[in-house]
Amino acid sequence: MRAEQRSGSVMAAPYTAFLLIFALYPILFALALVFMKWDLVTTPSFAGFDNIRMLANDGRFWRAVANTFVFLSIHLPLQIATALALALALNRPLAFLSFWRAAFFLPVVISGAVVAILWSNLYATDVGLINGVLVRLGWAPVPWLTDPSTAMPAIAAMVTWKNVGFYVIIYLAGLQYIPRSCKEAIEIEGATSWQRFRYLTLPSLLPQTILVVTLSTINGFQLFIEPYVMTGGGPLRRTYSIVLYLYTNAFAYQKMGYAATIGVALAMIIGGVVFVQRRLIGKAEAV
Amino acid sequence: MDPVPDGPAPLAVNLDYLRHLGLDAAVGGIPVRVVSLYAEAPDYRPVGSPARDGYEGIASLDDAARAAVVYLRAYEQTGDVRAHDEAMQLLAFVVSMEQGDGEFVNFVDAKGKLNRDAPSSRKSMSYWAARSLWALGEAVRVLGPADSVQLAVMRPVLNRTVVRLATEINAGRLIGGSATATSEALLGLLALERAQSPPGVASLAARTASLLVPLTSGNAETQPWGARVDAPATDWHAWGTRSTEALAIAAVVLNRPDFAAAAKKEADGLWSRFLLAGQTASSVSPNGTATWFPQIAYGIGPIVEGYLALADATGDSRYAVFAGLTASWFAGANPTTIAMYDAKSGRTFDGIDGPLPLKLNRNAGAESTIEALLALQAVTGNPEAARYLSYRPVGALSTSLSSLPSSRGFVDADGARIVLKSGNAGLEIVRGAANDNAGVSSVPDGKKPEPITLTYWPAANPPETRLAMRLAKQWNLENPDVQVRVQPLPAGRSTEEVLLAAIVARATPDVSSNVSSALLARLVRAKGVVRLDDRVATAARLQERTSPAMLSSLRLPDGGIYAFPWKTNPMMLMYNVDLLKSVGVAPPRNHTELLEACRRLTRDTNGDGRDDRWAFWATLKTTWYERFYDFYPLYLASSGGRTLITNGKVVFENEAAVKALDVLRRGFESGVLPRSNFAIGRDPFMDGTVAMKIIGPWFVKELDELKVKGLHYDVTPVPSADGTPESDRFAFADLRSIAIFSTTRHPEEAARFVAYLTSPAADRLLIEEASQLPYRRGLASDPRFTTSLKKWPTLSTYATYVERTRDIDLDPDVVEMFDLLSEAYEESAIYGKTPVRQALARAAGEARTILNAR
Amino acid sequence: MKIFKRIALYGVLAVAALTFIYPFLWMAAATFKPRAEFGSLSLFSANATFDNYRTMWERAPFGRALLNSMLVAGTITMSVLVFGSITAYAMARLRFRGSPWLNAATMGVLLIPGQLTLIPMYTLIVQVGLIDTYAALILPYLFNATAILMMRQFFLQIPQSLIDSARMDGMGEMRILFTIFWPLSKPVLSIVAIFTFMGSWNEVLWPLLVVREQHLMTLPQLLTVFSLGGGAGSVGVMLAASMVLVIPVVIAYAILQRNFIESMAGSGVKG
Repeated sequence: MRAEQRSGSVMAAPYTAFLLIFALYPILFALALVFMKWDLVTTPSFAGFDNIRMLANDGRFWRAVANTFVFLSIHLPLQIATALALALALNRPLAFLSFWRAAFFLPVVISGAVVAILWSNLYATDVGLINGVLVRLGWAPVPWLTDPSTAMPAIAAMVTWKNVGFYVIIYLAGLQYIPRSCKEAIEIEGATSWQRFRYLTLPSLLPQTILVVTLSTINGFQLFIEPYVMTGGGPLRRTYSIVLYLYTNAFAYQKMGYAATIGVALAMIIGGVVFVQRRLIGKAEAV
Repeated sequence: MDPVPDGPAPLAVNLDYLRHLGLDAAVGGIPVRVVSLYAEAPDYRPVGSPARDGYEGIASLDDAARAAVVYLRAYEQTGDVRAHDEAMQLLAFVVSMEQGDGEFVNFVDAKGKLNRDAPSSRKSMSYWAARSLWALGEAVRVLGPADSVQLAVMRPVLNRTVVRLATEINAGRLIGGSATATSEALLGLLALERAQSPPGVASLAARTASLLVPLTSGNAETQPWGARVDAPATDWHAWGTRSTEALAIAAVVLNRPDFAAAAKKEADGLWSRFLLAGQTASSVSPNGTATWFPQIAYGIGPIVEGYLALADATGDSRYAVFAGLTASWFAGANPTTIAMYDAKSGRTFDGIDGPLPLKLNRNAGAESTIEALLALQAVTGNPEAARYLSYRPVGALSTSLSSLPSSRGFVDADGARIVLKSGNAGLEIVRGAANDNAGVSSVPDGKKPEPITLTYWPAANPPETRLAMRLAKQWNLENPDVQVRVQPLPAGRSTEEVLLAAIVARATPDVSSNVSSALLARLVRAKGVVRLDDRVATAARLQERTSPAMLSSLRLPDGGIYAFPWKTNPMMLMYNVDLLKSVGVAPPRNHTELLEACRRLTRDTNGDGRDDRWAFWATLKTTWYERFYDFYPLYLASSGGRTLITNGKVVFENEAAVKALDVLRRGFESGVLPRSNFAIGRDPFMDGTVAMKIIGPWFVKELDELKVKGLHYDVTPVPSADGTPESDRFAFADLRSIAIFSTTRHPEEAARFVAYLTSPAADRLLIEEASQLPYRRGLASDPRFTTSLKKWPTLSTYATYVERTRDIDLDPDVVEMFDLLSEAYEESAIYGKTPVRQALARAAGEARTILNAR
Repeated sequence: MKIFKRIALYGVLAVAALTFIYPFLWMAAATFKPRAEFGSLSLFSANATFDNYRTMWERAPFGRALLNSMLVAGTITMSVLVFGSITAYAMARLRFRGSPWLNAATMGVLLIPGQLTLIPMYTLIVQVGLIDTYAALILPYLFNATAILMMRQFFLQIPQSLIDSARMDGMGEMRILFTIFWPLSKPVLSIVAIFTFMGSWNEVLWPLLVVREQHLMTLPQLLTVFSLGGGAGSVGVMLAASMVLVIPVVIAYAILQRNFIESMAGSGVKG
């Protein structure tokens, strides 16, 4: 017990030191800024609770929060469902297995800004690939990114597309840990494939699901580059994300104190949501 | 950030004393203003011609005309209304002395009576006529269309004078038998040609210049070393040696390089010898014997101006250095070591006599004052020259032009020095040479001081980065003691982060040409950037490059200029000539015509039931700077010069803004503006999907690079609201500035580099390489840039708008203002959710809240 | 019936794969299109050209930058794997004081958006005088919270019995980690490796801030600084630049991907 205690501390020491230098300092800095007014150029001045009060009454901020929830409500289920389905499909002997796996992973390796440009063109009203197909099928083209009702879903679909390959791999890796004997046992009992999935695979993948949900929630809340490149937050601010609002305040308006307040609020919201999610998914974490 | 101590102010051009010499008079019943001839120390009361000269009169046209030139240039450079008024009254005197046939009388007495008898005054086409022509030509150039009413009075006089001059020139006669008078007349013709190019003036000017060319006598090796003299085997006089200046300007204005080659002869030969000698002779005989005294302003000034004109005509900055060194005579680099020009009073002493006894004549008459001011106006407008005003020659002055040292050193009070060495290609300049007493350059090895390094962050796009690297390379070759390192910034969104992070960490470069207006406003408040209009090099460049009106909106509350206005991209409406012709519409001038053009051009060309061609496309993106291409230029086109914020007050809630939003709303509502987006990387204007776009001249280069086939385009001003008077129309400037951060340890060197980046030569490169326009007065008519502008289609049209622009406000919160307007635009114009007025009122309300909160 | 199901499976996979690959192919094709044709849908152009690549190379010869990127991304990936797994092991399998705190802090780091910590991080680097060094590029990335979280989550699944018996054999914790956990964790280590390498490889903003000397620039930085510019014309060059960036990551992926699915036989995990 003592030995475990000691080796634990020793092994965690470098990371602890790293956190103190490269995480604590910037985070304290950001926390301090919540109570400051700072334009990056002049010296910061104390602002008390001004920033917090402003945030509470800032319709644009709450609009961004709402937008982010809209985004997540589409993105999260879609992300988990597609990742799980593809992982299950790929977790079996298939011809050209490497090809399939590489195909789904390709979007992950391209930088977000390039993907955003790529999809702007796919979504473009005039000659976009998607409208091209729709028109060929006899439908009217849809102004995907310029119609207030379709813009955010379009972005959510695109982000899912970009990240799914990554989560597929996490699920694939997780599938390797399901002991084969369990599979065999349950197969002998003559369970249907749905039952097998429901009662064996899904529970076994719980750690991975928690990871996927956590990571995609965090990523989803930090949605930035896609609206920045594709819509600038429009139409009618429907794709204005929290981080885009933070960024605009920090670097376009040079209101660093307010930006920090948005950042801290965002961290609290994510923390809360992740906490609730973990509660809901189960208490399986305890080992 | 700590304030940086201010650098030395450039030698100020002070008109007080010249004004003090002015007298009110009446000629033929018309009130005019004249300049009294003399004023004697110590009380300097203005007096007229003394007995020894036979009481010629109280004042002369000779002086009044040149004084008018001084005032006109002062008005041009500073916008000083008093200078304008003085000039106008002096010009009235000039006009009143004309005798109806292009000939003039020179003197008047105190009662306004003309002196028609004295040889130095009688009616003729001589010196005073030539100078009158010069003043009238300058008046047309400087006042141009702005003062058409007052110019109308002078016009007939000017025309008669030109005609009268032509008879002399066509007969092959020098005016008054003098190279000086002929040169001054030529300067008048060239000013006229530059401004308005009336028929026949160019060829008359060329013939006049051609009369001056053969006056050259000797060459660089043989006496009198290229001096231009009135007649063969006569002495050369320093006073009024204006032929070099006139020929050099003629080379530029008439695009005749042969005149520049001719102009160089006297400068490269004789004047180079003056520099090596360490002093300027007053006259030189045909065999090369120099007379050194008296030394007077009238003998120094024309050489200074000649050098500067040569620097301009040849692009060889050495001539600017020589101009500065020669002009240092005014600041004390003369045998008496006393400053001849006093910036505090604006007075210039009449001269120095000598050699033994050396005598300073402390009287200060009109001619000395005028000539000194003319020379100083020119020098302080040239950064490279202004810097050398404070230098003094080192070592004993030579008294023979035939046996001279091979080099001459000059130092300033801080110990900075340069050495001029005679070399194969004329005088060579060695800068930063080590200390040596003989004034001879010798660079002991190993003792050379480390060069200063300046970092420069150019604007973040490839053509400008390439331009920056090219200019820096050239600078580094010319300035071994100050090396510039170019560190390009990334294009796109990272630019702002990099710059802001650097500011926070005080890791800013010395110079950056990438500072946005909003950031600049903050930086200035925090004293993060260096003031530029009180440093020698940048002040001189500002004076040379811009008019007061062009600077007025860039001044901060303390009156200072903190960012050098470098280039501008005035937005205009670019249109597809063939598409407009195909539906029979003219380029729209107002909103009604714009909507009509939209209606006629919107079309379903492939018959699938959906429109696929439009007149105009306004992007649906709400990022703040997208409004540079739709709402903001439309607003400025009818706002009468109003912007968004003035003195911390919201000024955009007005009819011009309503109309700009409304025309867009009507377009979207009726479907003639597409409520859709296009693929990134595709420009619908280029492929004929859209017939018009609001864009700046940089786009011309882009069009050229993309090699779009069959696109025939032109530009026209952005349409304004119906019934907007011409005077209320402005274009959006999209101005870019260069700043010196106060973290720099070398503000003086950085200022010189900024002046270098904005020189006429650098500006020509900017036009040619990037199809962008320097923020320069009179750009469209400036002959130095004509060839460069012609390199690109439509650029000459863009150039005419450089001075009729408004930029985004120099306000810390201007980005937020644009975002608010973007929202109003989206809600009211694109999606029609809110009426225009209501959306605008809400934006204005929120804007006021933001401004009040700070 | 079974064959029918298989065909259906392949059909669905093929359609899905196409939607993933086509945009990528389109991007690849676009890099060979002349700029005027950029907006077109087709994969082929009658006027195919290398102009975009030529422009990119002319503006930014990236030999040295490629090496810098390899060095930086390689070092960071190694560090995240080695040091990160040590940390994750301690957090997952050892009880020590501060363990819960560390767990919370790791989550906390993930919650704070990078846009907020950018400026303080940069001032920190300036204050310690690391501007224009490799250290500035590497140090802040030596650990990665997401990687630790992932490894921890997977390490939790390895049976305690393996640790107990190893300890019984007198093995130290480090040895347990590297001789027992590592071989069992190839899938997650591979994911972490590819994900860390990719992240570091594609990072632009941080290098832009801390490195201004051309000889220290990373590949994406160099391409951003020199190749790209405003205006529509640069999109082709930008895509060409991202093609150049993507290729090494695809190669790394090809090498690592067979680890994502390890055969059970060698793993030693038995139920």
